[in-house]
Amino acid sequence: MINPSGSVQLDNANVVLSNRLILDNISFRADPGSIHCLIGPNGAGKSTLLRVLGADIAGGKLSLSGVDAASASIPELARIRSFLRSNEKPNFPYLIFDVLSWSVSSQDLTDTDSRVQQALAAVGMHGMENHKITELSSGQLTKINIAATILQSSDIIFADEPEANLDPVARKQIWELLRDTKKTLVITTHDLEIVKEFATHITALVDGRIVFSKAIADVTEQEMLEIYQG
Amino acid sequence: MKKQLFGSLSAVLLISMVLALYFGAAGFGLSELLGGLTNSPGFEFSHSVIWDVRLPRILAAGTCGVSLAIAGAVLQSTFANPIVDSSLVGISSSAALGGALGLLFSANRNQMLFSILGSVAVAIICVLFLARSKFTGLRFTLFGFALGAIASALLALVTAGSRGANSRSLTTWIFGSLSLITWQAVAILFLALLLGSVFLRNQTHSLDIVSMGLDSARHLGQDTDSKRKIWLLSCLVLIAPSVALCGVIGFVGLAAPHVARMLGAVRHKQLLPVAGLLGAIFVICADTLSRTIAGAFEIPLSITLGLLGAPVLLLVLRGMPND
Repeated sequence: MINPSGSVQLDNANVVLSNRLILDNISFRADPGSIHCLIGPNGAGKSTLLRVLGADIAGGKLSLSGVDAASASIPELARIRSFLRSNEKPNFPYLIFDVLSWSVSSQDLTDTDSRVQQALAAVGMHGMENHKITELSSGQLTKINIAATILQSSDIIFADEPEANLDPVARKQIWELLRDTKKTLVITTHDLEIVKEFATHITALVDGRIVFSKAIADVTEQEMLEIYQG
Repeated sequence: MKKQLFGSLSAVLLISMVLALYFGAAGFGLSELLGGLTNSPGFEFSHSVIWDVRLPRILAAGTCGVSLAIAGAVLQSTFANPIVDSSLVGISSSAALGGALGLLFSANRNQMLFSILGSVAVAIICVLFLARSKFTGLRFTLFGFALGAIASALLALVTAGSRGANSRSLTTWIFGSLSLITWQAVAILFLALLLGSVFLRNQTHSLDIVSMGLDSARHLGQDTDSKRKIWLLSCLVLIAPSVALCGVIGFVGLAAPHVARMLGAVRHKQLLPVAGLLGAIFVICADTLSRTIAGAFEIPLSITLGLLGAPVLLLVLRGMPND
């Protein structure tokens, strides 16, 4: 039997928000270790689907790492999946060490110091633990947020346009860091060049419906462009 | 460093309490102050002023300051918004509305009891709305603002509709005054602070996490729905008796946590006690100025705190980096 750790399976999700059908009978599957990109024009329902897949809002029957999300507790879900925090400027001047230490599971606090150091080294920010989180650039903040998801020890990471507001070099760096986590990644993005380079699978959405969902090798550039051309 | 900060602020608090004991409408020399404090023969007048008027007032100011500053810090984290305080999200204004209704309905019977019951009853309604709200982020803050606006408008209506002596005493109370504080009131304020602190015991770690945002705290495994109720209930316990007994004392809940963070107390384990000490110092200093600076006329506490607190906040802003 295949180890379900890191798998995502959603069946028949319908989501209505403010009397509008946002997701229309969506089914989705991501295998462990895959990098699954959600693409589509603005308003297609990508972010909503991401939140449904991360059990942030209810819709359809969702299984994460083989666990029925509807019956999982909040701490249990946090052990199974993590969301990459947005790179909005934080409001309070915590130290980077503090922010990262919150992602270390409460059962595993014995070695917090060295785990935080390792996570910082993994994202190329070694020695920054005593800097204030409010003093970081967008790119640095995204790297810290990736370090936080590494520390959370979950098998699945969800991210909503992680490369937004970053320069081309930083964009690529962020995606390399995410790929290097070797976890199942489900990521919304508008950057088709990045998709071609990093994705293993693509799901395209238009008006809350899936147009196609397949491995990157089976998707042509024309198919991707048509999604945006209507 | 944190112990040094705590020690220094405790010393400043002690000095501000001694100065507050010393200064007042009835001018005392040092010997009268000491004689009055120790109830020495020949110092009956200073004894009465110190023990019946100044000391309860100073302790009430200090306790209110601690409670409001802690509640302010908790609310800023609960809303993940640094500009929030109890007035903006409706808890103070609804407590004031309830207190005003309590005072009007008391018809001069046990005004303190009626005011506290009124404050708690109306503030509970506000807290229930906030606690049951499913909003997060800016929408949650705006929801709080809307509740605050409704409570403030109703309070203005009640004040405008009251007549004669009622109107004058309501206005004095609403702007914050400690002139009628008794030892009984000090005991109630202290008990409220104790109870609020008990609720917040073991919550500092969760408050740290939620201050980065409700969604992100939930993603890290925090049960934000039930914890939000505990935090709001703590704020109700800290704020409502203070408003009922001393009126609306603004600015402390907003400024004290910011100054505390500027001094390096960012995590709630340090933030709550440091902000509390700062709150006590602010209110004691402001109350001393209120009752001494204009001779026999006592300036409402809110006015003094605004004039004293705004420059402090501006200084803090100068020290903060731009976005």
